[in-house]
Amino acid sequence: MKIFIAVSRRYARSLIEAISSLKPKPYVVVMSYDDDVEILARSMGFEFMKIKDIEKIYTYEKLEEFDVAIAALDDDVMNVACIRIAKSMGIPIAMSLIHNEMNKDSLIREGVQSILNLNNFIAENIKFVLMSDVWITIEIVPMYRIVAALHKLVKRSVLGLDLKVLKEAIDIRDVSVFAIDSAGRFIGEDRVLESGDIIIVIGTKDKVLKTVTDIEKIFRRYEQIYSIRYSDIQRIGYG
Amino acid sequence: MLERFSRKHLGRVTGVGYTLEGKYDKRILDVLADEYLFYESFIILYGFARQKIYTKLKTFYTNTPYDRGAVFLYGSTIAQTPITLFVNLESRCINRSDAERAIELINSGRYSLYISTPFTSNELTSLYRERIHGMLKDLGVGRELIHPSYSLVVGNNRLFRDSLNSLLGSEILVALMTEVVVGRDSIMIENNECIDQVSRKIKGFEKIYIEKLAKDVLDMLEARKVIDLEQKKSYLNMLVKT
Repeated sequence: MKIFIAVSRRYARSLIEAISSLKPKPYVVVMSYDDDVEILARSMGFEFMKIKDIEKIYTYEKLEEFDVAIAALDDDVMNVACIRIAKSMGIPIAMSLIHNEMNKDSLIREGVQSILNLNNFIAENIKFVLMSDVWITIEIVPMYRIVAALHKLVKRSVLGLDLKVLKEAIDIRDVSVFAIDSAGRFIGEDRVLESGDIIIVIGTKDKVLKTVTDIEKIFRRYEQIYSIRYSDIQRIGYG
Repeated sequence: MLERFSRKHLGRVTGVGYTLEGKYDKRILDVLADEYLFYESFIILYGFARQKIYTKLKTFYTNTPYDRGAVFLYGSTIAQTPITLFVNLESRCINRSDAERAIELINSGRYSLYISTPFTSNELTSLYRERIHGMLKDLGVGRELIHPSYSLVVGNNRLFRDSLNSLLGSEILVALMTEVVVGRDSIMIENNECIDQVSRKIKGFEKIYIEKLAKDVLDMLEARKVIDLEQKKSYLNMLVKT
């Protein structure tokens, strides 16, 4: 396999280390603006070319022979320009990093198969740690549109609800639904959900979003029942 | 007549419209969308991505909001033609004939860079004149650049790629670099009376923009050997004191 990489200093280490662990060892050419990437690339036995201008990539004669192109530069427009060149040279598989989610359409239009959004991963993980009782969607494998939706139950009034009820209400052929407790242990279908439990839905993006909407409907129904009971208790008393 | 004029430039000019808040003047959008005038046109939104813009042109969003310099970097990187036109989509002063005239001047080879229609505020201009323009007058470069940024900038794509980018924009740096490297005759600067006002959203950040621009100007002048390191240090000290 022949891999062409255009990378900036920021992503060079992780990307080059990942590529170097592939077996059988691929033929790799690394292009970068930064000098320190050269040391890294050559230490792994890859070819290196320094570019000052993105259009200089056109001058690389063997570009048509590559199987995969990866663009991991600091700006989205640089990545778009790089992918445009790779696709015009007939490289079949193209992967790109994205920094602003809104530029996704521009990359798709250029024919990218896989778009990696690191910012989404970081932002959603931070939100998941800091926020509870909301759904957080994290992209796991963008190439196959596989995402995970997580929901940490803390204050929501879903007393008496268990996974069995959830699984009956949704189409489990589309997604995988499970829950773990605060210690990280899997929760069986019969156990009632408690505060601190995390519900996890994994599947393709559209199916996961549909499932999340269905689960929210069940949550609201339980919350409604809880509020009616609570108001009854307030009105009549326990007796 | 119009079509004959337009066809002459076919395939040579890329149009880049930029906006901070996703607002635009329809007249300018119509000019940008003219396929006889531009080989390709697109919009760059340099505010927050939640301020979306829906037009028939491709839209790019910058990584860092409020970085107008990224517009020039992005535009010149994505353009596939030798000439690029940068226009402020919110401008009230620019019309089609201004854009055509600017393209004609650059395309004829008479000038490398055309700048017109100031895009500024009173605060920005007064800070710029106090901290940067006075220094430039002392050094004998960029005397005609009396405003910190402009709404219409047309030039050879190579100039924008080779230049540094500042937060406020690249036109001052590009103009200075062109003046130093190519010569004063290759630039045309028109300080029109009609001035476009910058968005209120950048109110309060004027000092940051101008200080960054001043530092970038000094870096550029030092790199092009207009000033030496000692001069740069003394100008930086003056900048800190004011």
